[in-house]
Amino acid sequence: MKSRLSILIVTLFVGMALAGCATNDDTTPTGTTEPTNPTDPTEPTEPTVPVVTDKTYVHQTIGEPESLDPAYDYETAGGTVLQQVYETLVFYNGPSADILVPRLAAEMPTLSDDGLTYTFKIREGVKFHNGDTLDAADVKFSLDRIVLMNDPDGPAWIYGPLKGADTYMASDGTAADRAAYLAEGALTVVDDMTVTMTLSMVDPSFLSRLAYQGASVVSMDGVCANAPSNFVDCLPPPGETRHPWMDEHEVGTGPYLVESWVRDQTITLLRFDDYWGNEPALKRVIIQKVEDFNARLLSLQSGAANSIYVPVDHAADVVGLSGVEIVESPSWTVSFLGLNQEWCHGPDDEGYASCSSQYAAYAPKGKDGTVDPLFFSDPKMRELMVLAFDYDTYIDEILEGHGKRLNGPLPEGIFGWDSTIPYPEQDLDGAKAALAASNHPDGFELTIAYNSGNTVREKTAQLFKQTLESLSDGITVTVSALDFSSAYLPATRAAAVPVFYLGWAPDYAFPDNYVVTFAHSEKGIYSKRIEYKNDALDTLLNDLGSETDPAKLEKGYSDAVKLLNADNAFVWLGQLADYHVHRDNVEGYYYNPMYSGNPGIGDYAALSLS
Amino acid sequence: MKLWQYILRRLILLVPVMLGITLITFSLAWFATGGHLENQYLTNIDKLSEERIQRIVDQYGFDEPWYVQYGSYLKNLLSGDWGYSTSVNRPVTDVLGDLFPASIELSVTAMIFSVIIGIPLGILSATHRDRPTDHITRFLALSGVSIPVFWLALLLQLYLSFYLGKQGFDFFPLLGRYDPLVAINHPSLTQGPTGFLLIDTLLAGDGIAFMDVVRHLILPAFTLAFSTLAIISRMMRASMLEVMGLDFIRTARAKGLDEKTVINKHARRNALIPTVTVIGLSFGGLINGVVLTETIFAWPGLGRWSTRAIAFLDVAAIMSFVVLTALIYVLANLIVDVLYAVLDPRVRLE
Repeated sequence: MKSRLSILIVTLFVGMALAGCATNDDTTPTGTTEPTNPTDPTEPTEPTVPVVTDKTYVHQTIGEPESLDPAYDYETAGGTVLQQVYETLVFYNGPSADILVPRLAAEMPTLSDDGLTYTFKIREGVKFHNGDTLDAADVKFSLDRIVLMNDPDGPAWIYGPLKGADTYMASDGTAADRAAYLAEGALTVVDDMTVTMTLSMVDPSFLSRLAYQGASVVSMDGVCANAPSNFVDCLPPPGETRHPWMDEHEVGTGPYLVESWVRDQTITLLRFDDYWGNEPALKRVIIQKVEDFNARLLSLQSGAANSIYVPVDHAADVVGLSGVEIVESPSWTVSFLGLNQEWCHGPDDEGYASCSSQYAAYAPKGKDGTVDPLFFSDPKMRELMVLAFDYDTYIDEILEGHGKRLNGPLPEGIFGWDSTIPYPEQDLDGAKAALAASNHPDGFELTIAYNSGNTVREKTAQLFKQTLESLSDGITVTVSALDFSSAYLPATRAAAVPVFYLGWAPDYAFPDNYVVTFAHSEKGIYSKRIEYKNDALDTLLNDLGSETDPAKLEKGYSDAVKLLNADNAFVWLGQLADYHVHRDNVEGYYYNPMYSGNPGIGDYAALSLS
Repeated sequence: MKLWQYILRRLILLVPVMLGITLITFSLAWFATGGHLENQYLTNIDKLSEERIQRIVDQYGFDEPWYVQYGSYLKNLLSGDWGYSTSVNRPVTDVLGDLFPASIELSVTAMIFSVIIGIPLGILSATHRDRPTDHITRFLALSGVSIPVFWLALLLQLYLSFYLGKQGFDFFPLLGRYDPLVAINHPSLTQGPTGFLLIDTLLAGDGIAFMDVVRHLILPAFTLAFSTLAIISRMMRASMLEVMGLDFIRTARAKGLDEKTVINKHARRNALIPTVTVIGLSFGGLINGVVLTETIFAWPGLGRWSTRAIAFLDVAAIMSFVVLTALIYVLANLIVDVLYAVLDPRVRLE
């Protein structure tokens, strides 16, 4: 009896163990993996008009919007929703990231002879989701609003070219500052359906900036009707930057409206019956937050979800699944390593003593252990880093082929990208020669940091460690996993991390969104992070900021990238791929690198279900 | 002491307990941020000027001595301002309002499963000692404490939901609190007054929505309940065995009472006392330990939020979660103590 029971118990255990090994692959692999690329940018395509149905589309992903307010939201999950419910004056044409077409504008704007003033005619008969009718006052209000709210975490800075905006954004934001900005007249209502936008200087990227969701047109009456009592002229009082109602609601003109938003669960979009354009085929779109990949995968296979977010390190789990299609496209997200040229802002900085004491563990040092805060101010040391990195292994093994090489800050496909600029190649002999000519020919100690939990960055750091240490016995590299908010962020802010890994995705489709970010010593972000300064490059970028000739712009940005690359300020790792997965009954999907998504779907209005 | 006096006294004692807890959590947050609580708000350092950072410091008093900041924290806590959750960019009270009902609903359901399965199993095991029934329940108990919760969740999801669904039996959903497609025509699922969907759908008289909620609750609640019911069943078994060996049980049998009456009327009530202690402590643990279950079943609860808060050093969220959990533990223990007196009149509430 006891032996029979024992056998039963063991059998049950074995059965449960085997159950854990079960896979869920279907037997008939039919998934396609043909990548689609943006169409030729010189040939704009007309979007196909899908048949209107009552169907509901379900997309499962890992995030949800932070806010529905276009003046504040500056992340991809929110951007996906904003691009369905709001519209801008101009926008991209289907899959093309190069061609802008009028959307809420009746036609493309005219430009004054001095290149400073754009005149927009507003499309007639456009309804907001709250029933209001669009006019020029709504456009003026929308753009003035984002400037005046000026949330530091939001996209307001993108509209700095508007006259007086930069000055206002650098001010304390008092009532007087607001009045001064408004007096500049950056946005002027000419008549009910005409508005002008005046810039402080000529800016060829301005129309691209208007395509970004920050310039979404909101209903002025809708915003004002829901402004708290302490708001001034429908705006948060000076010192505050958020509108709580707008964080949770929307007053847009897009083909979908937000029917409901259950935090942490679902956001449901409902087709807008009074939409001015082509009616979407899908009646509803439900974006469901599901953080566990297995749950999403099961939902896709069972049909409970029409598409899901698949991180590239799970690509193998979806390849070959029955009833599933995969679309891989080159995104415009770039990844890189930053080489900090003045650790802790350098020994002359007043905070150097406390910084160097607090972050001593991350200090770059010579072989003898002496701290060298100007470690990467040595051009030979930077050259060593660029020559030592194993770019092919990074793309092939770490990204598993879901990416491509970078020859500078600009991703392939964006206006201004120059295919003739050589790609950095690993050259270990050259790296050794650079080491011999550097300030630390005998070796050094270096820390490479990444934010903990990011396995791609961890592998990249480990790869680099192995390569660097193979150059010389005197080189010791420490890979540090830092908790993002408690360690990585403060250390980065203090310029205490000598080598850091980051990525950049475009806000608008113009090269200065990349090149200035990396290269301009005053207007840039990462350039300031690594204390990089090249006067000739600054001058060139300043000139390009007001250049309008496309040929000169292309040449100018090419020259700028060459100058930046010559300084070896960054190690360009790769241009990441967008990996999209949906069921094979989904039609109409296209990829545009300028659409928000993580990755996701940019244009639900183009989709249908067969 | 009368019952109401005892409860009142315990509630008054709650105050110094909570003060101690808030002091500990605040101190831990202080040390974790190196004495710079403003770091939790500075999430976009690239676009923040030093002047702007200083304004934030001045506005929230982050340069005040720690005891002044602690005083402000307490004052805000009592006035309903529990801070701003930087990991989700919303006021903490808003987040709690959304997530607390979901967590409580799941935890209470799990606890009900644990109790209604665990206690009878324990009694069965005790009354069939060393027989096959006892061995099976022992095996189940061992499984309950051995199987990782995430693995159990994945198995249930795969076999009961996915595979059965492919065979046409789709009673068990894969994830979520409700079916979003059902919610389109059943607003009680998304717009109810309490956030407790079982209650909201009942109040609305919406049977379809109610059943949808029940179906979505079963797998995650059972996943959570499995380890707790194992512990309850073993505790109940041990307690029953001890009670059934006492003289008064022998007397009851000698009086001619049938075994069912002896067990249900005499033994069970006495055996419940230590088990109730375990149930009380387990409930607090259910609130805390749900993050894996919530993640796999996409359940929008406090577990995921608190885990994310820890990863992001979302100080306000962490402190609020700790305070809330401490409150739940204390109240659960109070209920347990009261239940003692209900179960056993000899227990004097002091």
